[in-house]
Amino acid sequence: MSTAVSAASKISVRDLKKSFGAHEVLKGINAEVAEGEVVCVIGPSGSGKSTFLRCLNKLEDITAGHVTVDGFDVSDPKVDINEVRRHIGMVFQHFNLFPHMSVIENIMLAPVESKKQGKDEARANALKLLERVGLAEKADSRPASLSGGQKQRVAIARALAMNPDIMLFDEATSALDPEMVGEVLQVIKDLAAEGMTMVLVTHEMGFAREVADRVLFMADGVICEQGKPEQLFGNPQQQRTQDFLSKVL
Amino acid sequence: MSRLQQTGAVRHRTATVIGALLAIAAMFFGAVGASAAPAHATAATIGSAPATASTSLSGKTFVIGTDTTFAPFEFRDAGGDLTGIDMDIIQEIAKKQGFAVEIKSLGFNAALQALSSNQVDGVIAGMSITEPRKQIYDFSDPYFESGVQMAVAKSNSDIKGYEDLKGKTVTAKTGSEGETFAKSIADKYGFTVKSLDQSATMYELVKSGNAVAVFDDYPVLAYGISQNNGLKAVTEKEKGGSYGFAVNKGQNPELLQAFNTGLGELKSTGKYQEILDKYLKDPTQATPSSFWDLLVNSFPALMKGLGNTVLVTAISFAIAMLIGLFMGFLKISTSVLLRGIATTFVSVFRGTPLLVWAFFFYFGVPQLTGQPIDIWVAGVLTLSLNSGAYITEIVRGSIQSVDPGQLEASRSLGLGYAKSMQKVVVPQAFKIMTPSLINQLIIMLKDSSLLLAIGFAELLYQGQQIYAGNFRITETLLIVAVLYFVVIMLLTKLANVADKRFNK
Repeated sequence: MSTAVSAASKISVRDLKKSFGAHEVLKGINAEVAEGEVVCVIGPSGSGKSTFLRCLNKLEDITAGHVTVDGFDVSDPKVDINEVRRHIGMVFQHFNLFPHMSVIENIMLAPVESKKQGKDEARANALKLLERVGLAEKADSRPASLSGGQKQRVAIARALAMNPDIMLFDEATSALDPEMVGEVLQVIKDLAAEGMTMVLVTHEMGFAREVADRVLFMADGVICEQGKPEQLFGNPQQQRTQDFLSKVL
Repeated sequence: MSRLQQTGAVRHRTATVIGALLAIAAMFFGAVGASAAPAHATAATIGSAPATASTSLSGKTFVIGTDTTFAPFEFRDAGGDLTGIDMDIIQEIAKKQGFAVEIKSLGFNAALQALSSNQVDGVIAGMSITEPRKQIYDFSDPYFESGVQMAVAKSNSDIKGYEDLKGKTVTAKTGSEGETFAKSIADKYGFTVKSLDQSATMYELVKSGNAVAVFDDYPVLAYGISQNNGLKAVTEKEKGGSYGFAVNKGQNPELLQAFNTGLGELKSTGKYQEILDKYLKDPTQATPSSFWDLLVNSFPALMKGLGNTVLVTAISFAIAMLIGLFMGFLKISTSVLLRGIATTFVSVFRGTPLLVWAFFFYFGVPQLTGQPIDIWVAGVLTLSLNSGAYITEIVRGSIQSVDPGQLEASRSLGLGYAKSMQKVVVPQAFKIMTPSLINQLIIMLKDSSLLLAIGFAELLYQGQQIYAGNFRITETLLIVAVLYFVVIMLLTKLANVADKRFNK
């Protein structure tokens, strides 16, 4: 379990447990993510992948254990969680764009409201980000008029507007039509190439193999096995990993 | 409360019911009532003390409550001004005795409620002096000798006397001498009495055939017949009671004294007979007029009522929105206490009739606090608290129906809860709640007509005032209905335009 743990750890998870009522979803997770590392989390549904990811920016309250992200102790109730979240971008399966705002307003909202950026500066940054995801011409459109792939690229631009150190992707391509998956994955690949620290919960095994530095396989609320993609996909050690991969590959 | 229940019990049925409702309402405010009651007693005594000490009434203004619909004693003339025997007498006496009067046209029951709660200083409303009433009010010398008479529809040739009433239904005015008399002979002649609140509606009941005859005070009947109300008197008048002017027991003795002195003077100068003749001997015969004449004559008064309806609705709705937003947020709070407060508020005001609160605020609260309350304040409180309860639920439901992913996305960007609600959730909730809010506004506009029960001069109240004088109920109500309809249609259009504009 000690593969590829860098000394300059961006995310550190120690014995993380999470229960919903009597139902224990995470049963003791230990993980490290190094700066610039891209980690993909795979596993069957119900294994706790998304819950694990949502504990990293405290969208889920942590039942027990410690989570340190970017130097902040997320599990400490006294820490200013809003400040922590400004360093962590998150992209959701269902995009969650704000339907009552235009595309560019979606991107400008957080910089203006929480970073106290001037509107002009925020607009200029937002336009740059839209260019980066190839949607500059959609700046004044409403989210409702965009395709799924375009929506998710806007959502990524919105997360990037806060200039985060870490990006979390929660099944970012699961709700997309197949022909739109590629354009979103391309944006994520570009981010990886720029050295962004990322944790992705994904069902795209091919993509995980291509882009991940390390793959975590989760089952029943624990990390069952982890390793470099070629190792985990090519020569899985655990029976559960083998069973899962034989079904999805 | 003992005093309130006492007054309710000795009056008549409607008032007893109202008293009981007030008692229930007051139970919600048990703590307030208990602490305020002694204060009230003190305030009432102190309040009357300076007036008693004063020997001259010149320059003073007394608030006089009266009925809305008791022609020829009080009714609206074609121009919408209150006129009639009672009005002429009280104005004439005030002029001679050097005080001023402010007339409040409340309706008979409401005027007596207002007198009991010291909202008015005196009541002149064609009120018979009776023993039970003398227990709680001080009466002047009698100023009119009345008597009950029976009338039937003009076309009815079957009913010629009481003996023809067997098995039939007759009508009389709640709490009136007519009702007392009709009930006293009901068993003997085998008919049933159906009591109503207004002369004009009693006459409609007879004309529509739902009752065969009406028992009413003879001057009232005579005046109605002269105004083409479609009835004819068929019996001689029974020997009846005397009308008196009343003040609350032990209050305003100088006003009572001035009334008696003034009445004596009117009688000796012949002015009194002049007033009676004006309305009874030779009332202006109504010439049949067209619907157009009715429309033209009633329009100014109805427009005034419509203005009040729209204004009281606008103010109440603005306040109801504030209450609803505040309580709606309490309702979705994580604190059990705050949620409990909001839930209790909604249960109380959604679970009780609007009318109970109108009576409670206008008649009940002054008796608890000793302070009269402005009718606008009472009306706005009633409407806004009632509507606020519904809007609370609309707000709660709308906020909860916004996709939770919206709040998560905003929070994940580092925006706090309050900021996220303000910028992301509430704007979307507003879009969801707009149709329900428009609905609520329209309901409130129509519900505001219930305030006529406390004498608030809104549109339907003005309509009642008009048909009380001219007995053209159906046509007047038709005009009123059309006015409501037009205003609500315009309001709906306006709201839809605003909705499209702000909720793209």
